[in-house]
Amino acid sequence: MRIFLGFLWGVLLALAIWGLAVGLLLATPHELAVLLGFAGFMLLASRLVWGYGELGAFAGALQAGQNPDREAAEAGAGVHDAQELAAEVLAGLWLAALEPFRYAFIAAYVLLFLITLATKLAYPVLSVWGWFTGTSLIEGVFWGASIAALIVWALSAAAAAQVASLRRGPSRVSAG
Amino acid sequence: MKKQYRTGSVQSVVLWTLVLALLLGFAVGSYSAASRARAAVAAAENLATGIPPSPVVTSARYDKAGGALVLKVLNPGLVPLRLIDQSLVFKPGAGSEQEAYALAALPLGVEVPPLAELEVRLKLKSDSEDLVVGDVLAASVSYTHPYSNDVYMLTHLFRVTEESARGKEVPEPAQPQMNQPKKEGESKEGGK
Repeated sequence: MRIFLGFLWGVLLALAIWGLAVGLLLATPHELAVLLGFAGFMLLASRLVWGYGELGAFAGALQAGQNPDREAAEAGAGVHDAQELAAEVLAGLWLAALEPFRYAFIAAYVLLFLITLATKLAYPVLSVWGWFTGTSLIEGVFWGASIAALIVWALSAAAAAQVASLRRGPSRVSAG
Repeated sequence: MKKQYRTGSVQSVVLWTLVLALLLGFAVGSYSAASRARAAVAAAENLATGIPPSPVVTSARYDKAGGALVLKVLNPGLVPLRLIDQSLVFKPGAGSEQEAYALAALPLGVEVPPLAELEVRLKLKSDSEDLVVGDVLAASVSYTHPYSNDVYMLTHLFRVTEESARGKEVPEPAQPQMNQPKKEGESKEGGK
C-alpha cells in the first residue's frame, strides 16, 4: 500500500512538473511577467504570510478555548520570559511586530503601481483602448504583484480582526 | 473610547477577498488574453507579409479623349508591388478601320502600396483610330515584388462593348470573359 501510494505521488509530481514546464514554454512574455511579479512579491511577503498565518492560528486556538502555542507567539512578538503576559496581549504585540514588514511590502507595491501608472501616461488619459489593453511588461509584473498583495491584505485583515475580537470576545475571562 | 485601528470581522474580510479576487482575476485574465491576441495578430501579420500577392484588375475604362486604357489595379497583399512596364496588343473588330498593332515594353514605373488600389493608364498607339465595338485589347503589365528578382506578368483582356466604347467604366466581373478554355465544337468567337 505504501509503495503504491508512493508511486502515485511520484506520478502526480511528474505530471505537475510536466504541466509547469509546458505552461512555461507556451506562456507569452506578458504571462511570464505576471508570474515573475507574483513570485517576487510572494518572496517579499513570505514573512508576512507565515506570520499572519501563525498569528491567526494562535488567535483561533485562543478563541476556541484551546491551549495556544505560546512559544511561537513569544518568538513572533520578540519578547522573552513573558509568562506573566496575557495571551491576548501577546497576540497584540505579535500583530504590531509584523507592521514594519507590512509597511515595507506596501511601499514596494505602491512604488510598482506608480511606475506602472507612469507607463500608462504614454496614452491619452481618455483612450480607453490604451488603458485597458496592457502592452507593457511592467504591467504584467504589477498584476502578478497584485495577487500577492491581495493575499497579504486578506491574511493581515483577518489576523487583525481575530486579534481585535479577542479583546471583546467572551473567551477573555476564561483565557486570562 | 477611541476607535481602534484595523478592526472588523473575519467574515467580512473573507467576503471582500472573494469580491476583490474576482475583479483581480478578471484583470489578470484580460491582460493575458490581450497578450495572446496580440501574439496571434503578429503571427498572422508575419505570415501575410511573407506571401507576395498578385495584382488584381478590378475594373477597366476606355479614356477616349486621352487615348488610353485605364485599369484599376488592386494590391490585395501586405507587400508593395512595382509595375515595371506595359505591353499592348490591339486586334481590330469587324467594324474597325485601325490595323492590328502591338506595343512592347513601354516603361511604367508605378508602385502599388499594400492593400491599395491605383489607376494605371496604358497609352494606346498615338494617332490611332478610336476604339469601336468588337475591338479587343490585350494589356500586359509586368511587375516585381521585393522577395524575388523575377518579373511576373499580368495580362488583362479587354473587349470593347457599346458601353465601354463610350468610356463607361466596366467592372472586371462584368467584362466579356475571354480567358475561359474553349470547348470543342464552339466557334472562335464563342462564349458569352
